[in-house]
Parts: sequence; structure tokens; C-alpha cells
Amino acid sequence: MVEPLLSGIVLGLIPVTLIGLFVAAYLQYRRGNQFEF
Amino acid sequence: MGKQIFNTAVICFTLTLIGLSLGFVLLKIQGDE
Repeated sequence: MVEPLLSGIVLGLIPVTLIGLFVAAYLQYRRGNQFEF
Repeated sequence: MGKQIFNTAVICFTLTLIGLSLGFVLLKIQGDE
């Protein structure tokens, strides 16, 4: 009953989400709520 | 089974990073003019 494609997509998007959240938090921590690169 | 899930996860991760990088690069180029 395990769907390999679905599980792979879910497990592949989890690290992307975590990295994105931490990068956004670091940018706000460093420059104060400005998303200018 | 596990190997197939792992390969799918790696491909999904890589394609997402490539897409995000391309998007932000294009955004930067467009913003800089």
C-alpha cells in the first residue's frame, strides 16, 4: 500500500521547505524583514 | 522499494532547487534591468 512516487515527492519536498524557512528566517534576522538579495 | 523512494526524493529535491534558483536569478536580472 506504499506509493513510492508519492512518498518520494513528500520526502523530497520536506528538506526544501525546511531550508526555505530557515533561509527566510536568517534573512530577516540579519537585515530586518527585507527580502532584498 | 526504499531505493525507488530515495531516488524520487533526490530527483524532486534537485528539480525544486533548480527551479527556485532559476526563478530568483530571473527575478534578480529583471529587477536590476
